[in-house]
This record gives sequence, C-alpha cells and structure tokens, in this order.
Amino acid sequence: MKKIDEVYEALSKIIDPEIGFDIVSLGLIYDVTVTNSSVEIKMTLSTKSCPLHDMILSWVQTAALGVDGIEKCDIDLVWEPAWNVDMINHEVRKKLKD
Amino acid sequence: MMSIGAFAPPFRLVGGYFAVGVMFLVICVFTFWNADFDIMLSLNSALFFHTFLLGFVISIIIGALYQLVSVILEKPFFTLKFAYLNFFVFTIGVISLLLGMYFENLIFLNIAGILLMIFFLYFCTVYLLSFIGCKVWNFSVISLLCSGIFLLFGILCALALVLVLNGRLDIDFSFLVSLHIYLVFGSVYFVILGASSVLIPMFSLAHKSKFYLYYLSGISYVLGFFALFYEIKFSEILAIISVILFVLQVIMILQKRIRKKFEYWSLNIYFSFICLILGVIYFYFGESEKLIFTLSFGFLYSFIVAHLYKILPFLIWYNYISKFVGKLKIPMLDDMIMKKVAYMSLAFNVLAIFFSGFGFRLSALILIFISIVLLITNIINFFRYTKFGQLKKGK
Repeated sequence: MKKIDEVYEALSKIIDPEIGFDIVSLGLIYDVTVTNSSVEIKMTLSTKSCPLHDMILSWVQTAALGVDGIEKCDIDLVWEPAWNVDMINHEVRKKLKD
Repeated sequence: MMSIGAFAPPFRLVGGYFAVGVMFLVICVFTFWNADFDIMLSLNSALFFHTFLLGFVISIIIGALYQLVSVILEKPFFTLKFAYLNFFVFTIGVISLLLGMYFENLIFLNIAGILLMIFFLYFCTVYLLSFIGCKVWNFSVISLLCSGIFLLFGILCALALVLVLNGRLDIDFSFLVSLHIYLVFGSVYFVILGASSVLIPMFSLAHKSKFYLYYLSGISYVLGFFALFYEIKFSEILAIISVILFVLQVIMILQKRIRKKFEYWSLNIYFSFICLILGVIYFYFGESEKLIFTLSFGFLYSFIVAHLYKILPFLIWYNYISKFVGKLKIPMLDDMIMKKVAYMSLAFNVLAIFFSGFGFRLSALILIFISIVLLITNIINFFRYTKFGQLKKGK
C-alpha cells in the first residue's frame, strides 16, 4: 500500500463524535502530501465554531504519526474552500438523509 | 479561530447552572398552578415568570454562555474569577426571590433584590467586557452583544421597580414593568437568535444559508423597544414581526439541511417553533394563560431541551470521555441518549400543549411534569458517563 493511502486509512479511523462518521468520508481532508518521512495534511472543519477544533487536530496529528515511516506531520487548517455538504462521501450523505 | 478547549470554563460551573436550572424547572409546574394570569401584575403571576424565566431559562442560558462565548467570539470569557461565588449568589438570590413572592415577605424580597443585583451587574460586566478586542463581528456575535445590553438595562429597570415600590422613585410603574419584561425577554430572545444561528446549521448540517432574516428579526425587536416609548401596540407588532422573521429564517436553514432524519433534537426544534407560532395566535386572540403555557412549556422548554440533549452529552464527552479515544471503545454522543425516554418526554410535552389548548390546566401540568421527570432521567444518565473510564476498568 502506498504511504499516502496508509495516511488516509489512519485518518479514516477518526470519527466525529457528533455526526458519527469519519473525517475522510465527511470530506474534511482536502489533500495529503507525503514527502519522505513528512506528511502535510490540508484540511478543514465542518464549521468555524466547531467545539472539537483542537481535539480533532490532535487526533489527526496522532493518526498520521502512527503510520510507519512518518515522523513529521504538518496540518494546514483552511477555511477556503468552505466545507459544504456536497463534499460528503455519497454513501454517508445517503445515510444522513435516511 | 479559537476552540472550546483553549478557554473552556470548568464543567462544574456550567453543569452547576444546568442542574440548578432543571431544579427550578420542576418548581415551575407548581408556581404555574398557583398563578392567576388574568392579573398579570399579581405576585403569583410574577412568581411563575421568575421561576421559569429567571430560575430555569436564565440559569441554562448563563451556563451555556460560559461555554459558548469563547467559541462564538473566538476569544476567552473576560474572567472566570468569582464565577463560583457568583453562581451561589445567583442561586440563593433566586430562592430568596421565590420565597419572598410566595410568602409575600419583604425581607426575602430585599435580600433577593440585593443578591440578584450583585449577580447580574457582575455577570453583565464581565460578559460585556468579553466583547472587547473581538475580531469577528458576525450575526451571532452581534446578537450576543445585544443580549448583554438588553439584560443590563432589564436589570436596571428591575432596580428602578424596587425603588418605585419603596417610594424612592416616581415613574409610571406599569410602563416600567413593560420595559423590564421587554428588555429581559429581549436578552433571552437575542441569545436564542445568536445561538440558533450557530447551532441549528451545525446540528442539522445545513450550509450556504443567508442570514438576512436573522438581521431583520433582530432589528425589528430593537425597534420594538423604542416603540415602547411611543405606543405599546407598535412595540407588540414589531416583536411579532421579529418572531415571524425568526421562524422563516429557521425554516430557510432547515430546508438546506442534509440531516433529514427526525430525531430527539430536530423533533424538539420543530415542536418549539410550532409552539412559537401557536403562541402568536393565542396572543392575537388574547388567550393569556394558553399563550404563557405555550411559550414557556412549548417554545422555550422544547428549544432548551433539544439543545440540552446535544450540549450536555458533548460537554461530558469532551471532559470525561475524549481522553480515552484510541485507548477504549468510546461511545458517540448519540449513544449517550436514552432515545425512547427522550421521545416519551417529547410526547408528554406535545400532549401537555394540546390539553392546555382546551383549558385543561391540571392535566397539562401533570403531563408537563412527567415530561420533565423523563428529561431528568436522561440527564442523570448523561452524568453516569462522568465515570466512564472507571466503569470500563471495573468491567
């Protein structure tokens, strides 16, 4: 498995406790770049007022550093483009609507 | 962008206000029974209004504000110094006020007046000082600022009322009561406007909504305050327009929601807004008791309960469970709710509003009492999770 896929897999284990789905399926991870032993994760949150802000970032950091061979993780938290429901994975969106 | 963790007040402080609020909610059922809403200025009516609005609503709102201010303003609450002391001052003040009104005892009323004045002046001051240096000025921030200003002036009106009663000030008493009610209700209303503009899109996963109607609703309510000095009828009309705009705004937001599922939060929200509209209808037909019951136990109660089901589990999860992420199998927020109990509580609430509509006061009060007991059952269950790690290790 490619390193980038391993990072995505680790991130997909992080569940938003309020929504009940993982942050990758929710479309909160915009981009992952792996260079040697470093990873840069470009991500957002569902709302600027997200009360779990620092906690989610620390989970992302821990998950990424838990991947074999990754020693450094930089998180670029962005608000543009603003997250919206169209970014949610199709299956999760269907479950939310049911 | 600041997070809750950076400036979160101690859970005991927020939880304390919530616990006291729910205690006064139980008492509300009895003070409503005792009230005569044909005589609005009677002590018995005032007893209910103060138990409900001051004891229940303001308690919950202040607890929630300690938590929400840092999230919405993206900066810390000005200070938490004396916050616990002030909490005790508030609780004893409200109890004294209710005893004073029930027994028509001036000593209790005077003690309550002093304690509550100290509490509110201190809280309003630190709350309003929290806005200094705020870099975000969106609708929710402006609403919270308005709520603080309304509360401050509402409390000053209460002080003026006491001075009029003592014969130390000569102002039209009923006009002063109108000002006091409009301002205090306004402070509650603006917190609801501001908080809902953040919480409803957040919990329903609704984005890309425009907030024009929120702004118009707020402006309409503020204009209604100035109209009080001219003609009270204009003020009432502007307040009703404000409420209608608020309801329309929420409908607009909910139309864009992706979480379509009807559950304990959304059903309580829908029911609260139905009751708000029902309240406007009762107001139009001059049905004062039905209006008060519906706005209190329909709109405000359901709106607050909906958010208690979201905020309390979240706070307990954040403070007591999150540290076990990755170490133990942890519950989601939704798992912490006893859903059947929550739905039964709502069902009894709906029945209570239905029965009150036909003038069955006792039946409505019994039903709302059952609804409250079921709510408390869920709250006690939330608090079990404060022992989460210990329970797991015990197993």
